[in-house]
This record gives sequence, C-alpha cells and structure tokens, in this order.
Amino acid sequence: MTAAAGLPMKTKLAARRFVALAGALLLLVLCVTLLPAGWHDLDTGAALAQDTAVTEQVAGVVAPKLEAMDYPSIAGVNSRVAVWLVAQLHLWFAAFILAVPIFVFIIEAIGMATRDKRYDDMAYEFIKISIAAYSLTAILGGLLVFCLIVFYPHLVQYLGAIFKESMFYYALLFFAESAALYVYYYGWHWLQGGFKKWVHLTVGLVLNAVGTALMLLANAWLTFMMSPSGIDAAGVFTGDIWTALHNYLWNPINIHRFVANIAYGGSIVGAYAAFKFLSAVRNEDKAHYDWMGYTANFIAISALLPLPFAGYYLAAEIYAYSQQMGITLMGGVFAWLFIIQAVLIGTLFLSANYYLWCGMSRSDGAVRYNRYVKYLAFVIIAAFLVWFTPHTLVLTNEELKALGGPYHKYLGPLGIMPAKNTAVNIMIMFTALSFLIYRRANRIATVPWEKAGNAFQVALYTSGILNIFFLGIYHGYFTNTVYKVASSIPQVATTLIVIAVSVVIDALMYRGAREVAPLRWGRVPDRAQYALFLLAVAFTWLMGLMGYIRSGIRQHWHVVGVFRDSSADAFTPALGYAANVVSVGTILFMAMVVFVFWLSQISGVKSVPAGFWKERQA
Amino acid sequence: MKGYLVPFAAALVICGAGFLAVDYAIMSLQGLTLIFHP
Repeated sequence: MTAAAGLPMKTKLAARRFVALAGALLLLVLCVTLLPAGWHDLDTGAALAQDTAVTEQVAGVVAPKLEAMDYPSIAGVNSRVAVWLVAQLHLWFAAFILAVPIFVFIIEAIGMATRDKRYDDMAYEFIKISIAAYSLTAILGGLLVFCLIVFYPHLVQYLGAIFKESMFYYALLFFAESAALYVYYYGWHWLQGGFKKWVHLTVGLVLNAVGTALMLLANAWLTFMMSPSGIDAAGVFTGDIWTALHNYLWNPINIHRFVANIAYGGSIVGAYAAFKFLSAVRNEDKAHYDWMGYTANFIAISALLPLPFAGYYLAAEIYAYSQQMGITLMGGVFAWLFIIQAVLIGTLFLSANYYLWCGMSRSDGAVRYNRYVKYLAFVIIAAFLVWFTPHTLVLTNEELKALGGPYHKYLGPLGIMPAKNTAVNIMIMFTALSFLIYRRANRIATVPWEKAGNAFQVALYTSGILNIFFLGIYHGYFTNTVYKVASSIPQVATTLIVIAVSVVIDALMYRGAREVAPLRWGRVPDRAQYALFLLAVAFTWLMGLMGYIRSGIRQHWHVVGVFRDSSADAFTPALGYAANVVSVGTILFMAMVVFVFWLSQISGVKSVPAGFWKERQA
Repeated sequence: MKGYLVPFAAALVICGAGFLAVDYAIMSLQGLTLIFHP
C-alpha cells in the first residue's frame, strides 16, 4: 500500500492487523447475512446439528385475531398516518446516516492513499453533517417505537415474540454504533498520521459494519411482514430466529436499500454543498463547495446507475414470492404511482446530467465537447418520455369512444415493460457517457492509439445500443411473456458491459494525459446548485412514495396471510391521499434537513460581543 | 476519417458478435433460445 510507505515495519504490521481484523468483522457480517436462503437446511454435519439443537426455538407464536376496538386511539390523531409519517421520517434520516459513513470512509481512504489533505477535510465535513442527523434519527426511532406501542400494541407484541433476540441485540448495537461514530468524529483530528490514521480508518470500518448490521436487522422485521417464513399450515410461527430473519424478501431489500442509501446520502450532502456554495462569499469557499458538490453528485450517480437493476430484482422477487402481490404492485392499484415514480427517476437522471453539463464550464477544454450535450439531452429526454408513458389512460367515456379503447394507437406499445426496460438502459448508458465526456473535457490524450480507442468506444456504444433495441423490440413485441422477462437480463448485462469496458478504455487512453488548463473549481453557474437541490428533493419524494407502495402491497394484512389488520384504516387509501401524506412527510424532512444544515453553518460562526464579558486584569 | 473508419468497423463487428454471444449465453442459462420458437 502506498499510504503505508515510509512507516516503520512494526507500525505497518500493526496497521495491517487492525485492517485485517476490521475487514474480517465486516466480511463475517456480510457472509452471515447474505448466504442463500435455506443454507441451514443442508446436511452440514454433526456440529451444525448440535448447534441447531441448542438454538432457542420460538415455537408456537400465534397471530391474534383482532377487532377494530382492539386498536387504541387518541382523539384527533389518525394512527396510520402518525405511524406512516414517523416511520418514513425515521427511515429518511436512517438512510442518510447509514450512507454518509460509507463514502466518508472511502474518501478518507483515498485521502490517505494519495496523501491529499483536501480529501480528508472533505470527508470530515461530510461526517460533521451526519452528527446532528444521527440524533434526529434516534429521536424519530424512539418516537416510532412509542407510536407503534400506543397504536398497534398487538402487532408489536407479536413481532416482539418472534424477533425478541434481534430486537435486543439491535438495541445493544446502538451502543456500538454510537461509540464508533463518536470516536470516528471526535477523534478525527487526534487520530492523524501514520499508525493513528490506520486506527481511525479501522474505526470507520467498524462504524460501517455496525451500521450495516443494524439496517439488516431492521429490514428483516419489515420483510417478515411481507413474506413471513417459518409459518406452519395453521398460520403459527414455529421457526427459529434465523428462519424469521432470513425470509424470502430480506436479501432483495437489503441490496436495494444498501445501494439506494448511498445514492440518497450523496444527494443530501450534494444539497448541503449547494447550500454552502450559494451562501459562500469568498472565491476559495466557492471552489471548495463546488468540489464537494461535484463529489457528492458523483457518489449519487455512481449508486443511481445500478439502482434500477436492484429495483427490478426486488420486484421480480416479489412476483416470485407472490404473484398476487406482484400484480397488486405494478398491475393493480399502485400501477399509477409507478408512473409518478418514472417521472421522479427521470428527474433524478436529468438533474444529475444537467449538473454535469453545467460543470463543464469549469474547464477551458470543454468547448470541444459542448456541441454533443444537446444530443445527450435529446436521447435522455426521449428515453424519459418513453419511461413514463402509461399503458392505459384515465379517460372519460367520450374520450374512450374517440380513442377506440383504453390503449393509444401509437403510444400504447410504449407503455409495456420491454419499452421501458429499453428506455432505462439507454438512459443509464447515456448518463455514463455524459460522465465520460465531462471527464475528458479538460484533458488531451497523448497515447498513440487515441484514434483507434475513440473508434472502439463509439463502436462499443453503437453495438450496445443496437443490442438493447434488438432485445427490447424483438423479444418484447414478437415473442411470449417468458421471453419478454428473460431478455431484460441480457439488456442489463449489455449496459453494464458497455459502461465497464468504456471506463477501462478511457482510463487507459487518458493515462498521462495533458491538462488543457487548470480546472477552475467554483466557476460554475448557480443554476447547477439548484439541480443538486432538485436531486435531493426528488430522491426524498421518491423514497417516500416507493416506501408507501412497498408497505401498501400488504393491503389488509399486518403480516401477509398470517396476521390480519382489523383496524379502521385497513384499506388502501386513494392515490391522491397517499401522495399528499408523502408530500407532507417530504416537506417535514426537508425542513429538518435545513435545520441540520443551519446547525452546521452556525457551528463555525464565532461572535465577539464587545463589552459583554468583564475584562480581567492580568 | 480513415484512421477512425477501419477500427470502428472492426470493433463494431467484434462488439456486435460479443453482445450476441452474451445474449445467447444468458438466454440459454434461463433455458431459452435467442431466436423465439413458438
């Protein structure tokens, strides 16, 4: 490791041991949680059988049959909306504080490897924002527990009986996370240089391992409510804690949330950087926050690109678990919310790309590439329009008659999944292309094979696009449903191959490249910062909306097929009502985020009140 | 332009064939063929 160069041998060894230990811990957490379902059913010998024998069985947990009067109420408070809003606010903050340490750790490691202190300073500023958010997450988590106990005591009791071990250790893990976070934050300037820096980095790794473990445990509780496991034919839970945790939808949610959290965390710190950029007066501050905003946007885009694939995987697993639930999800009452989802995801892609295009003004060499931006914008907008084209339309009788049915003659075919899969793959591919162009803007390649390299990249993109269209059109419109679904996987593979290969070629082509001129951080229009705000707001709204859908597909069940919801609110609300609740939640969350940003702002301000303090004689 | 055209054409053929091979392999893994047989 280059970062360890120059350290005494003993220090190097100790540092390696620390990193190995922390790495092993993280690996252990991931291995235990990500093993395929049913692994413990395999015949793994006597030792495992013995272990299983001593594992405490949570046998015979029966779901109660409730009446509406069994749900306590408070005058003037709607239980469902109260729990809905508090849970959503808690989740937004939790996603943020779990994601920030992940990329803070990576940025700190980059700073350590390159010995560039700017990375270290930026990482510190990122973690500083999450400290205030951490308290808010804990407060909202506590409020959520109280709300659940007050409004849904029987459900809490039922889940508590099944998950008591994991709930107990979840609470204990908070101590570990708090300790790791505080040492990581307050020890930042203390643990600097050589071996101390390795220790600090290790604390960061432990913080992330504990944070991830917390997320995995909480995910298991909600996925158990969607896809309960360990339930016998009579509806009685007879499994052990691992059976309950490792239910069918656990890992799909884990993967989706892990990736989404990083994208979300990136968008929120991007908004922070935009806020600081717009309020900065000095040029050096503008340059710093411009760089910070760019890094945050880069993090958000990097996680945003694989996110639709993680979403498709989750949706496919929901279908695989219960076709009825899958149809409710995308073919039933919630289908129209997916149109709003498409609009919001399109907004995310457009704002992220727009920010990159505005950012090209930092470079004097960007003038060579500016003419391509309009083509990128055209393709991304066209893909966006296809993506949110609905299959059926909400029409009056007259309109239906005039149209000859619910499907539009030309736009109807764009409403089905093969068209949308094609559109989203193209959108992702062109976002990656935007980034490649941005990266090239200020550099001139010096390798002798530059022309061949460019030609290869153009051919790679061209053949990739043709292949995606071939799969989307041929399999999507001229085969059966099995082929339609199956061909989405080679489409994804094509997109990933194009992105990976073009990035590798670009990195090789621009190795040792000349700079056109020094990059001018801070020379970016203010409107680029509003794109960062839009990214954060659209992400928040989107998460709230999709969170509602994920929870809403349980319909009139607390635990699907096992524990019926008999409260007065056991119905699916109208879409407009649901969207309003999510919007109120988004406004509340953004208000709290502004509060967190403001706290971070005032923490660096010192007032010197003339004549307030008594003068002391020396 | 000539410096671009030949490598572009060659790369287009190679990448196109490569992507078709990927399509074929993934569809086969799912027990399907690349060309639909009703």
